[in-house]
Amino acid sequence: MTDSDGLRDRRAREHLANERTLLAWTRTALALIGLGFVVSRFGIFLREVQGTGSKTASTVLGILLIVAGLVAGSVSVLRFFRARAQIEAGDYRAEVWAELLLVCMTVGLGIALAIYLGVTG
Amino acid sequence: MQQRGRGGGEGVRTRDHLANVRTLLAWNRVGLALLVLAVVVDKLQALVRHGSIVELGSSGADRPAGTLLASLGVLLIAGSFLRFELARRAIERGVFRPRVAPDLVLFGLLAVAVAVLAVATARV
Repeated sequence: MTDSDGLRDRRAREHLANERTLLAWTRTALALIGLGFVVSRFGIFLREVQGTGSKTASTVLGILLIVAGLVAGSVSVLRFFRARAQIEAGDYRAEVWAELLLVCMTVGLGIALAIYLGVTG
Repeated sequence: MQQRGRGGGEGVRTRDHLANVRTLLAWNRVGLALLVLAVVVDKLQALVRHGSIVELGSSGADRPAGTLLASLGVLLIAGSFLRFELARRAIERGVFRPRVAPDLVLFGLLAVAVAVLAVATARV
């Protein structure tokens, strides 16, 4: 196997790994959006059925979660293309801003959710 | 540094980083699943408690279940980021890391969450 063949092989695996990472981000974004829908639907449902709970809080939380999911999805696409260029140049950098953003959003909204569940319900 | 079957050098480091990110994202989804369950458990308990389902009673001691599950989910997600950072640094330095401690903590939290779920389910 010549050097250039080896180089092409390595790049293929990195590109495929990059794509798998994008798909993992997509699943995570979908999970955030799903959580947003569950929070808002259950809040509205409970309010309709028995008049307890706050429709506003659950709706706001739900919308924020959906927005977080959309942000995660957009960021992941940016990351994918950025990483792809870096891989092609043989200069991949492990940047953590996207992961940090995701964790901060999720933890923040999770804490808000825990408080919301503690106060209502 | 040639590693048999992995292509060696730069490509391995790249793929290790990407695999590390995917692991973080997988843990994130576990945490989010706990958050979903927290909402479902809490709301269904509220439904029972306010007498909409008259036959089932509830002692009211179930109230913390939702908040507990949500807190565990948050801890899981925060903890998974710590694991991610530790691994990222080790990958950058090219040091193989056979650490089991971070994962033990994460799975421990998960076990507690499952126990809470089991208790909440049994008490309905």
